[in-house]
Formats: sequence, structure tokens, C-alpha cells
Amino acid sequence: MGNTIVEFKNVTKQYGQGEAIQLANNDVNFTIEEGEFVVILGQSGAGKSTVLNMLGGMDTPTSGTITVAGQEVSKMNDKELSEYRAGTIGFIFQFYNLLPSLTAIENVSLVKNIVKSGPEPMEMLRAVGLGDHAKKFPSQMSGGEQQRVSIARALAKDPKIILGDEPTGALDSETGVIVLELLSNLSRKQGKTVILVTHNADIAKCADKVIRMKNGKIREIRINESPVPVREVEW
Amino acid sequence: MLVRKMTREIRKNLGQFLSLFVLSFLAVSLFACMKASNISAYNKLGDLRKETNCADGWIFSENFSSEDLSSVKALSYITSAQRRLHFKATAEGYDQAQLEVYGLEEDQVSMPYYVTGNKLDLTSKDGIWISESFAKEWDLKVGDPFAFSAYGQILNKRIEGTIVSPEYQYLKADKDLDIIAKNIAVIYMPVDGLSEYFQGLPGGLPFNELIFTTNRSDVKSLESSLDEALHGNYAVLCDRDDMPGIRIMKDELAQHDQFAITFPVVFLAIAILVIMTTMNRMIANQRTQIGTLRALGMKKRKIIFHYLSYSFIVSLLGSLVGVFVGTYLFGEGIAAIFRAWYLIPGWTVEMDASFALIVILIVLACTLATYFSCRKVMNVHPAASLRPAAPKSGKSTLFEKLPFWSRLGFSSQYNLRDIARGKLRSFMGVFGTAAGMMIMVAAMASITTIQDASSWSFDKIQNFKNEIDFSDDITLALAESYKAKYGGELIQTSAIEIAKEPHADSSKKKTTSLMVTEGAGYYRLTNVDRDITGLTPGTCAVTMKLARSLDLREGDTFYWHLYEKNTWYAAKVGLINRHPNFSGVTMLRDDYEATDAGYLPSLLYSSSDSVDALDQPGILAVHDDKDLKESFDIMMEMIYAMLFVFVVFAAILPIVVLYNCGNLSFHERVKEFATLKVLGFTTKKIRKLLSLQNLWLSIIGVFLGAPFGKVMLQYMFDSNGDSMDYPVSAGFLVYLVSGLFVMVVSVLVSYMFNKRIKKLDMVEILKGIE
Repeated sequence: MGNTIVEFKNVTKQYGQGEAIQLANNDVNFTIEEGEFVVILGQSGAGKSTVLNMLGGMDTPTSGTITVAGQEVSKMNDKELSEYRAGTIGFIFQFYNLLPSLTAIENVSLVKNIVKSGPEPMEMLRAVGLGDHAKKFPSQMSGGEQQRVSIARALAKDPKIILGDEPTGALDSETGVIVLELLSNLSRKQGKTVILVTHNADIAKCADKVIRMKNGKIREIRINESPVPVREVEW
Repeated sequence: MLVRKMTREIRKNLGQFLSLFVLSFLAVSLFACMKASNISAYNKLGDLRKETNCADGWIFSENFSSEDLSSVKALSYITSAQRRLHFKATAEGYDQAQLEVYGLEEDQVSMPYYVTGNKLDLTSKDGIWISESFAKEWDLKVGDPFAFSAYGQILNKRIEGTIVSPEYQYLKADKDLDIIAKNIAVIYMPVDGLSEYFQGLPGGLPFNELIFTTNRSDVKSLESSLDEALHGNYAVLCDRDDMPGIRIMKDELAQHDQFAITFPVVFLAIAILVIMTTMNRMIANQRTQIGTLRALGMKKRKIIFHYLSYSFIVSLLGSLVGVFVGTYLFGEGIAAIFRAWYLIPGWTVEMDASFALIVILIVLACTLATYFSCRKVMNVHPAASLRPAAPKSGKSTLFEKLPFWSRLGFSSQYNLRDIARGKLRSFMGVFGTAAGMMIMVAAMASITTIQDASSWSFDKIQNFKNEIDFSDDITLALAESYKAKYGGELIQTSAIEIAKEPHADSSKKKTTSLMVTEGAGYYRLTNVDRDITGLTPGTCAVTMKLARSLDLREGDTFYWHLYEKNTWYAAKVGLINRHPNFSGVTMLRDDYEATDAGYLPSLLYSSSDSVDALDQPGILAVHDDKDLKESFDIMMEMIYAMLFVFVVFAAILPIVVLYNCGNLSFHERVKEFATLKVLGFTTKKIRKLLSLQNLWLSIIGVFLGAPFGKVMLQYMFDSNGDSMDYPVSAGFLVYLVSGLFVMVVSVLVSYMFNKRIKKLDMVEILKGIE
């Protein structure tokens, strides 16, 4: 493992005003090292997605600082956040969020509109095993295939960090394993920092670091000395 | 509860419902403004005709005797009749205004409508009753002296009253291209007031008109019995449609009736597109809500009524506001403009049952459009509608068959596929911008067309500096002497009837004008391509629209007779010519003199400085080219005034439709845009992506709408009747300026989405994925 790439320092996020205030994150502190495969674990409403959203530059903290790859994300304006999302983060959604009117290859290629460098889109599609699905539209592919296209799209930007919000949540177990293995390999073989948010404790067994959250607070940060290979996990 | 749901959702989708409100408002208000002033015009015209016992028929002759009048009065279908004398005169002062003087021996038919002063007194020798419109322009009051000249005499009279003639709703001086109230008046006066001046004339002044009312509706069908009663001693029988003073107003009102239907149809079509696309989206979005309501046991009919109420209420509100604003604000404005031109006492605005009908029609159309949008979801089984609809599947589109498809960038491919996915929405965008472009081109081209007609008239046709108008008592020798003194070309103008066969009956002949020139080049003819051309001796030129209406071609023979005489002559068409505001036949003097019709010039076109020609015997007035250009200037002023209205409409249409297109497109793709934002697309880039589609639709709309702008304007010019021939002139600049205007509107509309894209809540939207 290398240097610290993510640092959450006293991060609090509250929604609403007056009596209706809700603390989604309450004094959250953690660090993530470069190349780590991290799982943020928690039940629904634990505040894990808020962490991911702030980390992804989609939301800003009410207080505290978030530093990613030396940049203070919590202080960025709209334009800087766009650049940050474009250059640093690769996002994988639970429901894939592919553009239905674009084919697989076009969905991957569209990031070339914002990031000129990085790997070839076709290469990325092949890397996720979908080289022969390039001309298919999302509606012509299974959920697992769509999620793989979504991963290829994230990779085509060559991001420093890959964020996944319940990336296997909409998939059956068998397909979920394929996707998870792909993500874990990104960390293990390519040295990418992969951060997944899930409520599935079994997935956490494969991670280098598990951050467990409850009621907006971090309950535990655990380093997995010997992560279980993805193929051996069942859920 | 459902009412609350409706009001909140209308508030939430304010943009679209506001568009629907605006469009139904525009459709109804346009109808109302044209119709309200028309209804009032028809009603007041009816009142005027009833009150003044306006003539149904006019018979013209060289002179009618009292026996002639008695014979006509004796006919069973004649309800009243009188003879009168009519001649043209010139005001002393008042810019030598043209006067239509009527000498009356009785006052039974086409009586004047009194505005101020006393009623007509047939025993008054000094009194005259003069047009209110003219009196107002020159600030003339009852009791003021007024002098005018005719047949070499100056008549000094006193104004006894100001009036409106039931025979002149349209009153235009011969020299003017359009109505200029200060240049013309109608004068009614007792015939006794004329006798002292014209005793010297052979036979005094003739009673050249016999007017009557009848209980038959078709005046022309009475011709044979009238002919018998008058022993053939008459030249022409006319009904109201033949009288320019009445017909032109009637045509104008008919034109408004046409506009009252045409323009609202365009807005209604766009309103229907807006409501269909809006409701389609709303109902698709509320599919699970509808499923829930149905699962809760709510009847299908109740849910349908709920959704119908959205468009019903909004379009009803828009239409009702449209009725009142259209009638009392726009309509009153239209009536005020036209009151300045056409003379109908008491003309204002009125409504009739058609207003209720148009409101019902528009509300029904919008509600029906909603019904068709709802129907689809209602037919889905409740259990199925509880689940979200299957996402729209991406599929290959026709665009992908384009040879350069693979070379297109992401934005282009993405938007082309989106267009294919939202055909109705895209059609709405194209249709709306096309309509906007059409209006804009028509507006801009109206300026260039008038300018073009002005230069056509003054640079090509009129090759003179001054027009010297002769009075009716001019002699040929005197006219020749003026020609010798001032140089130029003598012109005779006469009213004639022409037909393809001699002695044709009324249905086959046309009343028009004859212009006899000397072919000296002071008055030039232009051919159908508007190039200057000459007239071959022995032939005549017939203006294009007249030739078309009579199916005359070059080389054909036609027949004509002077309006007041019954001798027909044959002539050959040597040229089909065009003139912006003259319709009729042009003939060379030598050819005319070869007939026995009697040559007597009415004008002298001269290039020399003829100002001192005034105050000489036989000369009525002198107009320099500045005078003649005045009408064009007035038309230009009108066009500029109208331009503002046109530009507003030209802007409203693209704003409404492009905003709606953008809005729908935005809502349909909001999750996609949120995804793009998460991927790192900037607000600017997403706005560009969104606006690219609108930009394309606008460009297509601009190209599709452009040619229709010319067609629409030509239709508007042509609806003024055959007497005007204004070929629409729209150069590259017209299209460029209009296109740029629409495109700028389109680009500005895209900025309306800037804030929304900026505020796009990535977290909320992505969370909402079902």
C-alpha cells in the first residue's frame, strides 16, 4: 500500500433546518491509502452513501475537510468539482446509469468528451469481457453486462479512485461475483483505489479495509490482513 | 384532494402549463381581435345601410330623364329609386383634395349619415354636406365656407353638416395608393345649388346616376327588365360588389374573417402539440401514482377526469382571458386602426356566439389531446401500472444509416438518437420555429417588398417629375397647349368594362381602368418580369392579374366599352404587363383615336418644372413626385407599426415551443444528465448538449419556415384584391436577419436551462432510480 489518497477529517453533513435537522454524517474521520480495496459497510440510513457522494464531489460537507489526492474537495466550487469528478473519480452506480440511446462502446467513449487521455474505450470494453457487445444498446444486455460497461466507462477516464455505490445490489449472486472480481482486480492488479459502499457484509470479506458505519458515525475501521478471494465469497 | 394534487402539479410544471395558457390565449385572442372588430363592423354597417336606405343597385348613363326614373320606380321589385348627378371636383386649397360631388333633387336612397350639423335641405342653394373624415383632417366646422372648382367654375359654398356616405366605407383619392383622408371628400348638395354655375354647359349638368333599392337579393338578375324600362338608355348596372367604396371594405372584412381562422389554427396546432407532449410526460411520470390510485379502488373514469382537468382548466383560463383581452384590448386596437381608414360610424368591438364556439373548440382540442395521452396508461392493468414502465429501449435509428454517422461526435449521435426517440417533441420544435420564421420573414419582407414596389414604380414606370391633373372641362386643344408648354406625355384615364366577347352580360365582364398613353416614355410599361418594355402599335397591354381572371393571353382579342357608353370595341392583347397599383388596359393614343370613343386627356406627365401650371384654366392640380411618393411613405409607416407586432409573435412562438422542447427533453433525460454530471461533464457542456438539439430543430425550422414566409406575405398582399400587384421581394438579407433572429431566440432559450442544470441534484436524482 502507498500514500494516503483520501482523508476525511471531522466531516459532518446535516440536512434540513431547525427541528428537522438530520445528521447524515456525524464527525466522520478516516483515511484510505492508494491502491486499497475499501468497503464502506452499513445498513440503510447509516450514512455510507453520503460519504460516497461527498467523496465523489456530488455533495459537500456541512463542516470538516475532505482531501483527495492532495486536493481539498470540500472547498471546491462547481467548476472545480466538475474537473475533479472528470479527472480523479470513476463512478459505478447501482443501476448502471448507462445512456439508453447509446451503444455499449458509445457509452464508454462518451467520457472522451471530458478526458482526452487514458485508455482506448474498446480496450476497456475488452478488459471487462464485452468486446463483442460493443454495438449493443443497454436494453439488449443483461444487468451484469450493463454493470461491466459501466465499469469500462469508469476506467476509460483512467481515474485515481473508483467509487461504487452498491455495484452488485441489482445483480444476482453469480453475476455479482463477476463484477466484484473485476473491481477487486482493479485494485490488486492495476493498483487503483477502489471504494465500494454496500450493506452486504459478505462483500466486506474481500476488502483490504472495512469502514463500518451506523447512524452517521463510524463504528469500526478494520484492516483485513488476509482478504478472501472474491470467487470464494457467496451471498 | 385530487384538486390539490392538480394545483400543486400545475405549479410544479408551471413552464409547460404557462405555455399552454399562452398558446390558448394567443389562439383565442387572435381570433377575438379580428372577429370582434369585424362583427361590430358588419352590425354597424347594417345599421348604417338601414338608416340611410343605402342603394342596392346603381345604373350609370350619360343622362337619365325624369321619365326614366318613373319607369324604374314603376317596376314591382323596386322599393325606392332616385336619380342624381355625380362629378369630380377639386377643393380650392386643402392640397387640391379630390371631391366626389353628388347633386341631389331628392333624398330617398343612399341618404347621408349625419355626424354634425343640419340635415340635408334640398332648398338650400349655398349649403354642402361634406365627409366627416375630411372635415376632421382639416378642422372644418359647420358654418365654415368651402370652395371647390369643377368644369372651370369655382363654387363658393358653406358647410351645413358633416356626414358619412353609406356608399363610401372606403374613400381613397385617385392619386393615392392608400387611404389618406385629407386628400378626398364626398360632398352631398342640392342640385339647385349647382344650376346657377352650370347653366352654360350644354344640357346643364346631367343626371348620370340612377340609384335604387330592391326587394330582390340578386341585383344583376334585374338587368333585362331594367334595360327594358330604360329602353337601353344606360351603360352599366352595378350592385354593391361593383362599387369600390363598398366592395373594398367588404373584401377587407372578408380578409379579417380569413385571418381570424388561419392564425389561430397555427397557435392551436402548437398548443395541441404542447399539451400532448406535456401530458404524455406527466402521465408517464405518474404511472405508479395512477397504479396506486387504481389499486386503492378509484374508478378509471375519475382518474381520467382528474388528468383531463389539467388541460381543461388551463386552456379554459387561457381562452377566457383571450376572449376578453382579444376583444377589448387587441380588437379595440384593430378597430381603432381600421376606423382611421374605413368609414363606419360607431365601429367598435362586439362578440357573438362564434366566440363561445372557438373557446369550446380550443378547450375541447386540448382536453382531447390529453385524453389520448391518458388512454394508454389507463388501459394498462393496475398491477402492471404499479411497476415502472420498461425503460425506453435504445435502438438503431434511421440516422445511423447516414454515411458519416460514425464520424459524428458523441453530442451529435446522442442528440440524433434522442430526436428519433422523441418524434412528437421534435416535430413540435420544428413546427414552432418554422412558424416563427415564417412570420419573421413575412415581416421583414414586407419592408423590402414595399421598397421594391416603390423603386419599381418610381424608377421604372414613372419617368416624370410632375403630374398635371386636368379638370373635366379641359379641351384637347388646351391639353395640347399645356403639353407644348411643359413637355411630356398626355394621358387619358377612363373607367371601362372588358370581356372576351362583345356585349357580354355582367357575369362575364370586368370593370376596370383604361390608360391611353402616347408611348413617349414618360409613363413606361413593364412586362411580367418587370422589365421596361414598349407597346406594339395596334395592340393593348393588359395587366397580369386582370388577364388571368379573364383568361387572356398575348395575341388574344378582347372587347371593351367606356363605362358610361354602350359602344363596344375590339382590341388585341400585345403585352401582359404588371403595375403595383394599376389594374387595367393600356392603349396607345393613335389606336384609341382610331375608335370613335372620343379622346380627351386627363393628365399630363411632365419632366419639366410645372409648378406654375396651377391656377390656369383646365388644370385641377399639380402633384410632384414627392406627393406621389407620400402614399408609399404612409404604407411604410404602417408596415413599421405592424412590424413590432409581427416580431413579438415571431419571438413568442420559438420561445414557447423551444422552451417546451428543452423542458421535455430535459425532464426525459434528467437522470442521464445527472449521470453525465457525475462523470465530470460541466454545466456548460451539458447545456450545450441540451441546446444542440434545440439548435438543430431551430435550423430545420428556419429552413422549412423561410419559404412559407414569402407565401404568407404574398397571400396577404394578394388578399387585398386584384387592383394591387405587389410581388413579394425577399432577398438574402431578409432570410439572414430573420434566421438570425430565430436562432438568437433559440440560443437564449437554452440559457433558460442553465440554472436548472447547475442545480441538478445528482444525489437525489440518481437515488430516485427505480
